[in-house]
Amino acid sequence: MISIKDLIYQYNSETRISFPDWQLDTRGQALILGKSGCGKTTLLHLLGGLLQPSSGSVFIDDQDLTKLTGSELDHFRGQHIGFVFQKPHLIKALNVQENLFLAQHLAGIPKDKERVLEVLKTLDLLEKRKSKVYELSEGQAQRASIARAVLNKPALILADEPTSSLDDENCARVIEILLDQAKSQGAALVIATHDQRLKNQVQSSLNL
Amino acid sequence: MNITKLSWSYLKAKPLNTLLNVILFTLGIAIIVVLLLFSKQLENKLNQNTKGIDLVVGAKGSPLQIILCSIFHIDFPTGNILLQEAEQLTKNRQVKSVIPLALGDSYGGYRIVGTSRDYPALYQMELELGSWWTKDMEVTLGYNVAKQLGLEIGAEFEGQHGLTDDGHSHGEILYKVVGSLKRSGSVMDNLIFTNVQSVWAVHEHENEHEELHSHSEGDTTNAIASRVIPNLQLHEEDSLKEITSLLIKYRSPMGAIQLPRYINGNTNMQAASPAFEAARLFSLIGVGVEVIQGFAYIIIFIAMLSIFIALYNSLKERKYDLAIMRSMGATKTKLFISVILEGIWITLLGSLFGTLLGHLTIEGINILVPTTSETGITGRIFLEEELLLLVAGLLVGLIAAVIPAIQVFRTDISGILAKG
Repeated sequence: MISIKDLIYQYNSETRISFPDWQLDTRGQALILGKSGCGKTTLLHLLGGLLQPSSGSVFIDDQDLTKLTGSELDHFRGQHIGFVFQKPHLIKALNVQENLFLAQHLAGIPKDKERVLEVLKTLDLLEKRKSKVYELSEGQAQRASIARAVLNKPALILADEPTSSLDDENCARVIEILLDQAKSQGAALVIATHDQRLKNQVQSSLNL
Repeated sequence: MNITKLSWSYLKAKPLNTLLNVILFTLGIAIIVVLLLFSKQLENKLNQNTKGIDLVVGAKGSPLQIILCSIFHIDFPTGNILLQEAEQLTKNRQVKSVIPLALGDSYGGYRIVGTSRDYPALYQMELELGSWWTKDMEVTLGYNVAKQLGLEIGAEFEGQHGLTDDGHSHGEILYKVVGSLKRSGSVMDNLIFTNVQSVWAVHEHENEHEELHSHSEGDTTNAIASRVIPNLQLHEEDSLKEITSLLIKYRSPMGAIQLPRYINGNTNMQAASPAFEAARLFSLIGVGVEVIQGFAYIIIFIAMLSIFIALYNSLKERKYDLAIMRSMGATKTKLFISVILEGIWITLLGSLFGTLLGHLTIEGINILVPTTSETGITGRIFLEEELLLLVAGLLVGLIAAVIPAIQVFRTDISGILAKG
């Protein structure tokens, strides 16, 4: 599923990070752990094709991301990868279900209302589907962003500190949903975090 | 959901900003449309009404007034000219044809014009009902006159002295309607046509009370046929008969050089060129039109600036949105287009509302000020220029949105997303 080799990212002339070689199986689940500033987010962005490495290779689903050009990378990302961030970052101009329709459109997938409703239902957001984004509670918004990430049945879900701004109760709920969704959609899951609460939930981890 | 809907949703999310920009743009476009409709149609009317008439000869006075009176029928006559002098003029080699006009009376605010059939023929007028006038005191009505006054064929009315509604009635001698004309959109629609003799008859009848008039009917001994007025035999005592003006067509372009100078120099009459005076009139109006037009362009520029600022600010707030959408697979080009579309949405709406408002304004003025509707300027026609205006409007939206949209290409998605 994921395979990184000799991966180096150069921030500027002085700062560079080299990452250990690492593999993850299809449907595998792993944490990327480490202190803040050690390159967790950078690695996640390299895996998601949001950054191009200075050298080395990133294989996702047998595709070398470093070989893809700008818009090819955009399309690949849209169809194979789902992102969850620390904050939900839903599009405020749209309501909940419109946010999901947008995800289908941007990934180049035909509008599929049934799929949208199905995902909203499993995340207990069906009643909120026509709500404005600012009407949602923090937990609901984070669930909506997870719904957006899993909607297009990505092969890989990348989550960047998805729980660090949540209380224990919400944290437990969100991580449970993430693991659950990844499993039921058949996606691999990589979570970059310094949140110690997650260590017990996910066995495999990469320490930076 | 697609980028067209997305850009529309972003505009809807800021309704006041959007409304302000659409209103600004609507105003600018509406003013331009009003001016366009007004000046284009006025120019057409000016040209339409002056075609086929090379020169107007009237009493000494302002040449513009002669044209306004004898061609557009809005001003008063400068006075009368002697028929005898007019007859003399027709002998000039440069004169190809003449049409006499005898003005001075009106009915219901519409002018009664004593003339020859050549006058309506000049404007290719066609009968709608009845017939042309043949005998004295018969009249044929222009389209608006027939419609507004509701006169039917066979109806009789007394002319009023003067060209306004409040003149006293002539009484006793009645005009009789024998026909009405089709709509032409020219000044012809607002006239009542009869022969010159009828106008004289009404006035002579009045004068009979004061002076002893000895008109020997049927005396043809010294009579000669008039070259100005059809079917008229001139007698010696007719030497004091008057008409208001004479419309002249030149035999050759040389006439334009020689005839006005000859008339102004050697006779008691004044020559005025419709083309020249109309152009002068239009250039006077044109100054006003240009000033208002400049004002409209300033409004449109401000609207463009306002759209630009609104988009620029809103994109600053939306950098996370942009980054997130990129992470969801949106290409830069797609997002670029979606921002451009926001600018175009506003100017498209502004252009459509503005065009509508412009046309409604003209129609509204026509309803509120009835005299303007008689000029035949209408809001119910669409000009080719308006399509150009729409294209230009969309272009303004594009230009206003380009700089904000370029931010899409500058977005450092990883950097923004890494911040939280």
